Parts: sequence; C-alpha cells; structure tokens
Amino acid sequence: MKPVPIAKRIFRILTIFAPSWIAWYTAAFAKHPGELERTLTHALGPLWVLVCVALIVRLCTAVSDDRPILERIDVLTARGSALAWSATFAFGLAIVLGYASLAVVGMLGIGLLNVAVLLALVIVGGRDPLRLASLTRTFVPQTAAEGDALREELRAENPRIPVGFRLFVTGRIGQRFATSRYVVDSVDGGGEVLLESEVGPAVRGDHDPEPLVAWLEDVFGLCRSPRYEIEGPKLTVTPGARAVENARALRDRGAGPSPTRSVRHLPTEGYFDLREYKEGDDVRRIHWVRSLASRELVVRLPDEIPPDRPRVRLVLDTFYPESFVNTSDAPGETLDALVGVWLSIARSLATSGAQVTLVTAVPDQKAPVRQPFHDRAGSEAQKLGARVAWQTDTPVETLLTDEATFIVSRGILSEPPEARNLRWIVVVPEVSRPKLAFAPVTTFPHPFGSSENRWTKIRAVDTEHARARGDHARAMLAFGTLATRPPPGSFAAYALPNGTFRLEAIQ
Amino acid sequence: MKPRIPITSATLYWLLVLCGLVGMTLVRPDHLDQVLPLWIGSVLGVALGQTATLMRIRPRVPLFLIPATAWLTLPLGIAFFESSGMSSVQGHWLALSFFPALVGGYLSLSERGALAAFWYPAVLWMIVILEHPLDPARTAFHPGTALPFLVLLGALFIAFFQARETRRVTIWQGWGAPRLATDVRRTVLRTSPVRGALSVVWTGAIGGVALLLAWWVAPHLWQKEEQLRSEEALAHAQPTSTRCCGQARTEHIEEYLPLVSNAPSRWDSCVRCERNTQTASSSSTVTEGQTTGSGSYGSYGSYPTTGSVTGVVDPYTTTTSTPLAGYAAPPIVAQPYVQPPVVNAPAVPHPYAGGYAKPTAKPHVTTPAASPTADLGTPVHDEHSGYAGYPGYAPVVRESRGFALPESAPWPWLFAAAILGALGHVALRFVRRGVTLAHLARPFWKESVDQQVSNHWQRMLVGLRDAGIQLGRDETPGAFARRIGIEGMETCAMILERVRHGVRVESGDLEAMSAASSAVFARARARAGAAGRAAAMLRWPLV
Repeated sequence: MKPVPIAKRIFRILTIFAPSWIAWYTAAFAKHPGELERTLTHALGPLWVLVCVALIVRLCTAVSDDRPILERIDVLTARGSALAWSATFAFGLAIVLGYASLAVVGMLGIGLLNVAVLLALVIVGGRDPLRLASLTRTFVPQTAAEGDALREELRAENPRIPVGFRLFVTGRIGQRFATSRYVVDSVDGGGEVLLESEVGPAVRGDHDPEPLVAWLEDVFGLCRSPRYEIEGPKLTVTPGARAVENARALRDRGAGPSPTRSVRHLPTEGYFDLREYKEGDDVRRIHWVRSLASRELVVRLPDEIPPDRPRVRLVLDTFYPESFVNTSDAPGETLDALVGVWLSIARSLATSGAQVTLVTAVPDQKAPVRQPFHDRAGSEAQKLGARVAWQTDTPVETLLTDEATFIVSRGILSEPPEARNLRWIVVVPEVSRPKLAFAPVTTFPHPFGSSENRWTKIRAVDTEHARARGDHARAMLAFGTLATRPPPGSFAAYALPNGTFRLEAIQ
Repeated sequence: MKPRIPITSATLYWLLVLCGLVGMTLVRPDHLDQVLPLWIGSVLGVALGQTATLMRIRPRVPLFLIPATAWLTLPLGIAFFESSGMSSVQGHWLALSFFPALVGGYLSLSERGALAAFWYPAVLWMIVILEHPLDPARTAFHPGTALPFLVLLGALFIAFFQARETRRVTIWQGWGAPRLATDVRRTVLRTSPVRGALSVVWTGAIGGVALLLAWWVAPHLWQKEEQLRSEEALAHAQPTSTRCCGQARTEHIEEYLPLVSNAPSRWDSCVRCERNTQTASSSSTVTEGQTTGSGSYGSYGSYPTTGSVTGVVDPYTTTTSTPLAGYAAPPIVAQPYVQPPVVNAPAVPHPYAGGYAKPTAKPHVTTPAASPTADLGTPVHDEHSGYAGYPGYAPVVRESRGFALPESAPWPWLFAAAILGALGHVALRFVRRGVTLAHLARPFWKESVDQQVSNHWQRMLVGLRDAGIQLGRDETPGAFARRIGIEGMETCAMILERVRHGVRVESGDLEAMSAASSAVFARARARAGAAGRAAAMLRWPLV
C-alpha cells in the first residue's frame, strides 16, 4: 500500500470542514447578512457543527488506536474533495451573481457532502469497519506449474458493508501478475459472496503475495474508510518444462558419460572367469580346487565391475546485483528461462544415465544449495526451481569445484577459472518487450470518468513506464554482455519461437 | 472481457436537460424565438460534449483548438448566422445555451466535474421553478408551488451522482494502468433478503436530507425582496404626513437565462409617503418590458399596465388590486395619483430587447368598498401575501400576468400518469411473481415430467432466494443441497440430477419432488422473515 503524503492527507482533512465554513462566511458577509445569516445559521451552521463534532470525536477515539490518527479521519476521496470546493465556488458565485441555479447547485453539493462525511465518520470511521467479516483469499490451484491458469478466490463471509457503501478490494500477487479489482455492494452485506478472477498464467516462484487492500466507499464516491490489508497464503509455482533440443551434444562433447572402467582387485578376488595357467601368471591366482579337478593349473581372472555413472554438477548462476533496482519484467523472465533450461538439461542428463546434482544460491540461504536431481513431479528439484531468485551475495565462482560442471548462466561476467571439466551454457532467452505506451497527448488513456485519467496519475504512470523502459534496456544490455569468450566446449541455449531451447556449441 | 460501461449517468443527464427544456417550452409558449434556439443549442451542446467524452478528448484540445482556429471559425460562424436569417435574439439564445450545454455535457461523464455539469440543467429547471407554471395565479415564488419541481430536481441530482459513481466503479474494475485480472466473477451464495430495500431507503434518505437543505436555504437567497417590501409597507403605515420612505431597493432574482418576469434591472426611487396617500415620484431606469415591482410579488410579477386607480396605490406599479378584507378606504386624497414615468431606453442591451414581445393584459380595475373611517385600525396580517401591517397600506395582490401559462398544460395529468406508471410497474412485479410461482407449482398447460421436475426445482430456488440463499456458479444441485442443508433439498437435488442425466424417473418421483420442494419453499420463506417476504414480493428477477 503506497503511503499517502502527509500534506495531501492534511489538505483532505481540511477540506472536510473548510469549504463549508468558507461558504457560510461568504454568505454571512454578503449584501444582506441578516437574511442569509439567519438561514445559514439554521441550515449550514448545524450541519457544519455536527461534522466538526463528529470529526473531533473520531479524533479522540483515534488516539487509542494503533493506526495513525490522520489516517482515521481522512475520509474524503478526491471526488469528495472536488465536490466540496466546487460547491463552495458555486455558492460564492451565487452570492456575487445572484443566480438562483448556482445557489441550488451549491447547496445541493454542500448538503450532500456534509451528510456523506457525517455518515462516513460515524459509520465507517471506527477501528475496524469490516469487523466480524471474514475475508479469505485463496489461490486455485494452490501449487501451480508455470504457465497454468491461476485463479484467485476471495470469499467474503458476513462482511459488514453499511447500507449506502460499497466494499472495494484490490491487489495482486506480485509484479508480474494481473491486478484484481473487486466490488461488493451493500446488498450483499452480511451474506456470503465468492469473488473470483483469473490473475493470468502462473509465474514461477515461491511467492509471498502482496496483501489485498480493502476499503469501504459510499455510493456517491465522496467518502471512504481507512484501508485494510488482507493477507493471502503463500503461492508456489514450480518451473514449467522447457524442452531443450540437441541436449545429446552435452553428452557427446561435454562431460558426457565416462567409458567403462576396470577396477583392480586383489589376486584372490574373482570367481567366474577362469583360464589355464600361462607362464608369468601370478601364482596367487591359481585356483587349486579346480586345478586338482581338471588336473591342470587353472587361474582366476579378476571380475569386471559395471561402469560408474558419471557425476555432473549443474550450477545455476543467479548472481545479478542490479535485479533489485530493475523494475522491468526482463530479469524475471530471464531467470525463468534459466531455471527452465537448467532443469531441462538436468532431466536430459539424468535420462542419459548421469548423476546430476543441482547447485545454486538462493537469496534466503547463505550456503549454496545442492540438490540431487530426480525427475519426478513435485520433487525437491522442482521446489528448488520455484525458490530460485536473483541474489546479490554469491557469485558463481564460489559454487565451482573440480568436478565436472555445467554452468547455466545469463552470461559470462568474469574470467572463468581454468578448469578442464568446466562448461558454460549461456542462455539467450526471449523476453517480452515492454508494452509501455505513453499517454496520448490529445486523448485520455482510459474511458472518460476513470480516476486514472487524472493528470497526476497519468504523469506517474508515464514516469513509471519511462523508468521501466530504461530498466529493460539496461537489463538487456547486461544479459547480452559477455565479459570473456566462453571456453571451448561451451554451449549457447537459444530460445525458439515455440518456447523451447536449442543448444548450439560455441565454436 | 471488459465490463460494459453503464449509460445511466449519460441518460440521466439527458433527462435533466430535456425535462428542463420541455418545462421551459411549457412556461414560455409564446416565445418560440427564444425556446427554439435554446433547444437547438442545448441538444447540440450536450451531444457534442458527450461525444467528446466518448472519444476521450482531453480538455486541452478544445482549449487549444478554439483560439487557434478562431480566425476561421469566427468569420464562418458570422457568415452562417447572417445567411441563416436568424435574428440577433435567436443567435444570442443559441450562444447562451450552446456553450454551457457543451461544457456540461462534457463534464457530465467526468470524474470530478459532476457538480459543474449539473449547473446547466439546474438553470433550465430554475426557470421553470421560478416561473411557477403550476399555479398561474401566484405572483410570488412559493415553495409549495415549486416543491414538486424541487423534489424532482433533488431526486435527479442524487440519482445522477449515484449513477456517475456507478459508472466510475465499472470503469475502475475494467480499465486501468496496471494489467487487470480478467473474467472477474461474483457469486452470491447467501445474502440478506431485505438489504436491497434498505439500500433504496438509504439513498432516498440521503436525497431527502440534501433536498430538504436546499429547499430550506435556497429560496432565502432570492427572496430578499419580499422582506424589503414588507418593511417598506410598514413604513408607509407610519402616521407621518409626508416623508421619503427611503430608497426602494430592488434586488431581483437573476438567472443565467433571463427570466421573463424578472429581467435584471435597477430601480432607485424615493417614495414619498403620506399617511393616507402616496405618490411615487421615481427617478427610475427601467428596461423595456421589465417589471417595476419590488415587492414579494414583484420578483415574479407581471408587466406594468396602466389603468384607473381606485383604492390602494402600489408605489411600484400601477396595477390595481382588490383590497383586503377589512380594508378602509382613505378619506382624504391629497394628491391625485401620478403615473411613475417609464423610460424606455435601456441602458444596457438586454437579451429580451427586441426579442420579447410584451403581452398585453387587460387591466383589472376594481372599486374598493367604501370605509367610513380613516382610522388605521389594528394591524392585519395577510397570509397570502405575507403582508403584516395596517390595512390601509396592504400590499397589492396582483391578479394579472403579463404572460399566461396555457391552461391546457397537462401538468397534473403528467404527474398522475407518471406516478401511476411507477405504481403499475411495481404492481406488475407482484402479479408476475404470483403467476410464475403458480405455474411452477401446477403448470397451466400440459408439460413433460422432466419439465415439471425442473419447475419444482426452480420454485424451490425462488423460495431460497427469498431467504437470501443463492445457487453458486458451477455448483451442482447435490453440492448446493449439502451446503444449505434444509431437509428435502437432497431429495429434490437427487431427482433433478437423475432427470438431467437422462436416468429414468420413477412413478413417485414427481410427487416426491413436489412435496419436497414445497417443504423447502415453505421453510425457506419462514427463514426469510416478514420483512424478507415483503421485499421478495417485489423482487425481479425471481432467482
């Protein structure tokens, strides 16, 4: 929830009573103050006093509350604020010009605003306007795979929505998810309502969803309650399968399967392979029992053991210090691609008989994580893939050993260590271009009447888009930069239009 | 899929404007030269303004384009004006109506300009209110006369604001800078049966309070003359032989569109007061065709007419009147009545100049009954005019009007028809519900067994809806029955599912369905309570 500037909050609180007072003052000191004063004393005056009393009472009760005091009495919306000032302006014009219509418009406006403010302060200004309400947020499915359709459900049981108010709820899971916006009318207050929305394809990650923000607003849009947050359950989205073409090249040219090896055994070992003694054989290998039975010298040959499964370490490079200042989606999409390729290669190697160990660094864990790969749905490897995020603490060099290693990385940013069994797989993902159009000069970006057509909001969005564009460009530049030439035997994984990757050896 | 933006607010704005225009047409039937340009300007302006909102045009565009293209549009406009044969008055009224209607139409769908947009319809309505079409006999603004219009205006104000906010909420849900979730669904599983009615009551109460406030305060802002007039009349009653009653301050009601009966004017006069006779020697500046009155009736009064005067002389007008009961004729007439001079030279050109034809009204001359005494007697109070003072100086009660509202104007019938229509609509719901439920329980015509089973299920859903219980989206009958847990629902759900899946219906299934659904219906209705049942009578749709 973005904090509201204190000056803005104070202005809105002043707007609750200042325009009414100005209207009263203007009228009272008009040409015929006697008539007007009497009228306004009986009409505007009491209403204004009532609003002030309600404001003071709410202020007093807010002292004991844990929320900021100003937040409790800041009940006016932007539309309410505009109505207050425009009604006062109309009222002033009515006094000056004498137009009856302006007087009626001003009085209707001020009257409606004061009544709405009074109700808002009395009804929804309390400590918990939604008390006794149970707002439960869930995701279906709770553990999704990347790309699955994800639905958000908000179940409101016995929500206390006063008559004449609406419950607004908005929020999102994270930056790369769609924003949900719900509205519940007071007609459904005290009942049970199920709100659902498709928040888009699931994005890989172990998400701690941003809280939903809920508040009450009157049906005229003039006043609202303080905002409240609705927490949601943790959402885990496991990485999706990204097929990698030409993975056989890894086995052929990289750290592929080792050749069959014989293990030296003691001369007394071996039981199955026998042959006649030849000159020069170790006499300790003579099988005396068989020799007596066959009346010639027979020696035992050492048994062959099956070849060992080659061991491969598959390291994922997640070191990207700029990720936390980058507001574009490019880093996230790149990491998704890295994780997808990482797991796909692991699957491919495991299928070919290698023992794959996944190695990476995750942000909430200082030590590198090592996880043997097993190709099963919901396996630990899948969970590790969901946990992976960009981190700033562990460069890839600290994850390397002298074992055969493949490094899945966005680029080679440092001089690779001279190791014969080290291979790089540089992933070149296809990231979405930012759809960040600036607001047109002659038309509004949203339908007329939308609160997001305000100049300040358009400007804020434009600023945000400009920043995201810059971030995207910076991210693409960073990902496309190789500090050094990959060593021979390295590969590049290029994204294909069908969502798969193709491995190509770097010559 | 984006939600559909409701058009209620735009429709209400059109209703406000069109009702105001119709009202103006009815109160000014003799002035088509004003009303016609007003219609054209208003309709064109609002249509153009709302079209601009549909095209999402920013205010900066017209603010830039109008000055930038003035070199072309201004001569073209003048040429069009001259070639069209439009009089200057018509052109003036067209311009008076077009520009505010344009701005009002544009702001009517804006987020924060609703009050400003409401001003132009309010102008039209105020003219109708101030020229009191319902009661042609009245010559002064009377809240009672204007009350229906004020009530309607206030109700439309509230409705307009609510519709505007509903529109904004719909837009908020479907459009925004961030990527918004799609396919937002809302399923009501359980609700209070009387909540809807409470909501309507609340809206009405809010509207009532705001309206009461407006009705109470607003008239005082333009009723100052009445007080001044009363004070002046009291001054006449003083037994001073001859004195100047001071300047008769006149402050007329003004409106953006000029009032027929009360165009702005200035009147600075010294009224010479005598005990039994007054002579109004005025040095006044009066525009043609404008009232000269400054009393409570003067604000909305008629046009000066000439006629023989007998009895009480109103220092501000020459119309005569019937004296009040208890009136005592003055025994001595010191000076004959002198007609106040009227200067037909308007200092400032007025919209009415040349455009408004002063209707002629036959002066109504009455002869007061003679009174044997010159004693001032005791002060009287006339409830009709609000006058409080001595009978010899009672203010004039006008009986003539400069323009006459067509007596055939079907205001009462229109109101009655509107109210009857609303009541009929409500009654129709009641009847429709009764007929539907009766058919669902026992079909009026022969229907298949499957259909009858479905009817019973539907009837049960109606009863549950009365209690605020609704079937969830994608919820199977069995799951619904288990969730609600009313006895008999499981039976109904089981039979319905068999029918839906094409399983053979047993012979007793229909009877069992009928009995179970009736039991559930009755139990659900009992759960709804009296208020819920009453509210359900008028609910539509039934489920």
